[in-house]
Amino acid sequence: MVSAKDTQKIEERIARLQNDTSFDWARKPAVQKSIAVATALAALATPVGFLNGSITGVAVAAVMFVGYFILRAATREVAELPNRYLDERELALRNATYVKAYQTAATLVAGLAVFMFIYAISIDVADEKFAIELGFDQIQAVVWLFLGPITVIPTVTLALKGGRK
Amino acid sequence: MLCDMGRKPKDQEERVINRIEELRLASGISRQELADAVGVHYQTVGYIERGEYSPSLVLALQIAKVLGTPVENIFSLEEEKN
Repeated sequence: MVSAKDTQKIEERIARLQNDTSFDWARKPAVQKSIAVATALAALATPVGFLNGSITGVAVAAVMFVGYFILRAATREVAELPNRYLDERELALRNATYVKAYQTAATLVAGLAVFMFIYAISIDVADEKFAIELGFDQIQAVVWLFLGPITVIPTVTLALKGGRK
Repeated sequence: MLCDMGRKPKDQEERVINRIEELRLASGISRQELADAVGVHYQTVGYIERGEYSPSLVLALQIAKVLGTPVENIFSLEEEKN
């Protein structure tokens, strides 16, 4: 259970965040959209990075998280804060964002499923078992294939709507 | 006709215009003060002033109360002005 003192600390942090101006540079529409695109590309590249070794994977994931945390601050965490900390415009913005984020995530998952299906047909796997050997890097690639996008999609979607001070 | 029924598409809805900025400045109230008085973020007041967001009825009435004028003196549909 969260104590009253912790609740007060959380509320103070959110109040600071809502009035923060130190990330105004990242709220300029062109800058915000550029960071959002770079973060989305890094999220998609992270699994590929891990397939090329842990160091490459960690480096690309680091780029993704740096972008993600800048966007969180730039969008004042509207995509993630509890409802009671948002006003009616922010709630409406978040609702619209989550519809778009769901559509984006669903498209990615459906695209992946169709790709796997077509790949299975193309290698004629019907009559024999298809074995995949997974090392630690490959397992990390599979984990980040899902973990990266689901972490960043709502905030990136919100950021792509454009920023303003 | 079917196209005359139900909700209009977003791009065909009448735009709500307002005099919040004019009345706020006349009252000597900052954007932050108005936002605090009605319980929204100061950015939201900016979006409303620019006509980029139409407030709920409750928020519109709260703004009118703070600015000390009836809500119809603040908000109107763009076509009414034209």
